[in-house]
Amino acid sequence: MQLKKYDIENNITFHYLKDDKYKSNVISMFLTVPLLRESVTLNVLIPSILKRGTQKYQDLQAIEISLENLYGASFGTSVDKFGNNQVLKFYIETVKDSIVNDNVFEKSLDSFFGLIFEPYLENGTFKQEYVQQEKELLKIAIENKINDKMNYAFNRCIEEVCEEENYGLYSLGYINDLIDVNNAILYNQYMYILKNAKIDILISSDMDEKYVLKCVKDRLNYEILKFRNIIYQPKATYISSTNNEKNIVEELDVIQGKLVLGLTIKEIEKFDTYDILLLNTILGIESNSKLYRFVVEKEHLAYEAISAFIRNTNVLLVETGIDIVSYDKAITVIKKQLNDLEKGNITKEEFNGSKNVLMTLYKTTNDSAFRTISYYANQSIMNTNITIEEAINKINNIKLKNVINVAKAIKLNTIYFLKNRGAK
Amino acid sequence: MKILEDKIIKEKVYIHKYGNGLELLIIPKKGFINKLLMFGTRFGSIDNKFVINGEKVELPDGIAHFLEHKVFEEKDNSVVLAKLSALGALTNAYTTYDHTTYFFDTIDNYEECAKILFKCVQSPHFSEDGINNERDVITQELQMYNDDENSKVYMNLLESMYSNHPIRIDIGGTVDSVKNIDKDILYKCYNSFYNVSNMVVCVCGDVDIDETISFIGSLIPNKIQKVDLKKLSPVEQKKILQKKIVAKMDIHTPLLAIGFKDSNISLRNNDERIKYDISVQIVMDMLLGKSSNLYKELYYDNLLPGRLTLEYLYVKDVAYAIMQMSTTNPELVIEKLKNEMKSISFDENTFQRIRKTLYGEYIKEFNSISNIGMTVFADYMRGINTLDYSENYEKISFDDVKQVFNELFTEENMCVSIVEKKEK
Repeated sequence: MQLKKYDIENNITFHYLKDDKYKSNVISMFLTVPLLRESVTLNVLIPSILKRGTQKYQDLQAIEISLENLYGASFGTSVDKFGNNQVLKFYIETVKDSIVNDNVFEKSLDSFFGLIFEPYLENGTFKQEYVQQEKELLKIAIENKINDKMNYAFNRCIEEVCEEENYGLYSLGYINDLIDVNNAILYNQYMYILKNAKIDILISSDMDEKYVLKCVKDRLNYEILKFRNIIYQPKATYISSTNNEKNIVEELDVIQGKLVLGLTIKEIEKFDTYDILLLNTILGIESNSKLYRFVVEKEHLAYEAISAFIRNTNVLLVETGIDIVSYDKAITVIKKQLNDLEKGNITKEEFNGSKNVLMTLYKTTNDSAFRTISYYANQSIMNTNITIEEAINKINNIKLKNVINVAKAIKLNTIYFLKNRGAK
Repeated sequence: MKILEDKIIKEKVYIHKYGNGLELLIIPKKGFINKLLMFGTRFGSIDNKFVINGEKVELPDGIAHFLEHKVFEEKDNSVVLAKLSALGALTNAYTTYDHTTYFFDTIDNYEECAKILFKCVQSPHFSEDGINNERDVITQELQMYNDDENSKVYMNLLESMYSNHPIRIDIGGTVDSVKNIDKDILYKCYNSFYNVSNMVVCVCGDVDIDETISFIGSLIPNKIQKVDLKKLSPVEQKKILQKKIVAKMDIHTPLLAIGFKDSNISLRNNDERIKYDISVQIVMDMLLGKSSNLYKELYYDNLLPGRLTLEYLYVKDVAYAIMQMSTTNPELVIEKLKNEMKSISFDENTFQRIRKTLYGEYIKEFNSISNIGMTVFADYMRGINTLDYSENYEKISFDDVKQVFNELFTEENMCVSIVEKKEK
């Protein structure tokens, strides 16, 4: 399924998915700006402050009531790292008008654009009380990064691998940055984003395309959006490979050790992305992967062992939760799998089976409006234009030697281990 | 064949019962390319005391879950999971309080995958070595949850709320209890509970009804030997075992779970259970949902920095409502909730709005093959037809909701669990 793409005024791209099988409409907006140390924390605060009040609905409760009146429209935001960029994502999902016999779609567009473009202001800037409070809540959220231990270990490993690169920045930002933030600084950053972000608006609905396009155009705030100058980085984050691998061991109160290996792919531009994704699938995505079969099934060291290729970077991670005493054994088994990939010890079943897994993951994208939207938004940010069908075709045609070549370019960068306090 | 239909959202569930007692649910989803197949048995973690063919049996904690892990292993030690993945199917299994299910979703090779899954579930092979290895894997799974503060606060709550009902025991059992599981007990459980007359199949996707009935019929035996199973129900007192429990973990912001024990579940028929479920959800949203006054107050006092979940769970003979959140001051939140419970006066407009919201959420469930398949399946296992929810959203009255509030949300039924930051 392909989204129709239109360039509308002021450097804004509109993508439309006409759909008849889902029960709901999805409206989304992606604002992409460079990921920078000086703005990472501010950008995380922006959606939080926008959710506090609009000109029409001046506080949280009023906003929530308005969404509930739209049959429980779900409005969500997130701020994610993507290569050298930080992407501010906004979504709203509502049931289709045809099911409830009500004009929910247009009303949800009003709410959505209101939340992004018409924040509640006092004296021309964000309300101070809201800013102070969102700062405090973000501070708590940052402090809570130790709560989910596996996730913490994963992020810590990325931080170590990308020590010199902005991708290593913590996705929620830093507590020290919050000290000096005030409503004026935050409002300036908001205006900066509207003037300079790459803006993608993606909608999935059963409405007529021209009508939806007109609805969107009618709701854009041209006063703010004129003279836009887009600044973002389609190029991927690249981490140079190292010969001195880092060994990081940290302690928290854990019962199970959390092990994460950070790997980099040398000269990644020489490889097709799909060759890398297939390698990652052979290594650690599903139950026919090497990590699952050897770390879990054969050596029964863990319940899960997976790998993840971080899109728009050259970083690959392996993660697993193990008994603390199994540390050496787990590393030996994981390294053996990487070594086997490099030597081409990949059976026909592993190769073809992993191709099937990867193709299934792409194919099923077409059964979810959110995943389809997310796929095409990422394409837009990477400045590529590959349809899901083309991607499937590319995967189908990958040769074994391509995967082995990628494996040869993999270098271990960091071994990160989170263990219990005082353990040997 | 029985056909259930929701005319408003245009969904149907076909129910067919084979001569051997197996039940098949078919949920046709036109236009979707993915197909989900689930094969499960009415055997979950709370089913632990039986009379089987005249013999009284008490099962070790975590046996249903252990069995789930073992069913995927075949005679030649090859693992079925890898075979299914290689065909492009994403396969998994899970154990709940009242059922265990094996499932895959796939686009290609649907029939071949179904044959493999059915063969494996109907003829597993257990060896002492295989069991010992799997015990290591399960131990790591349990340790992963032991490190997870959200599971900890939830499990502690159930342990404090119930004195006798097996719901107070983790679905997976404990590291100690799984030590007692051996080949004999696994076979005994398998032979008793994995009899097709105790099992249900669910197919969700763009499939033909008649073809599906005859295809699934070809995968099961015509005749079976009946097992005489009698479940012994636990006697659970109405009273909360322990009103409050506090644990410490290496986290930053504390977690709080507030439970309300519903002791009258066994008195209600299916229609009443659905109505009760919806009413409890409405009450919780009116009390503490995002549009409530209490939520606003807590948010403004920085008491709710993270996620808040409001959930009502009911199976056969046990039910409870639970409010779980991350909060900077659990005691204060408990105090404020108690006060709100004493002073709140429900407003009928709010009731109408929340009801509409929940109905919208119900409709959105039908967007995804796996959501709808799993929901219909889980509901069916506890004797509920998911599509009956639709008309019950209409039927619920404001008085029903007030009555549920007065009956369930009392201090007498309330129990709290807190996980605090461990001071070093």
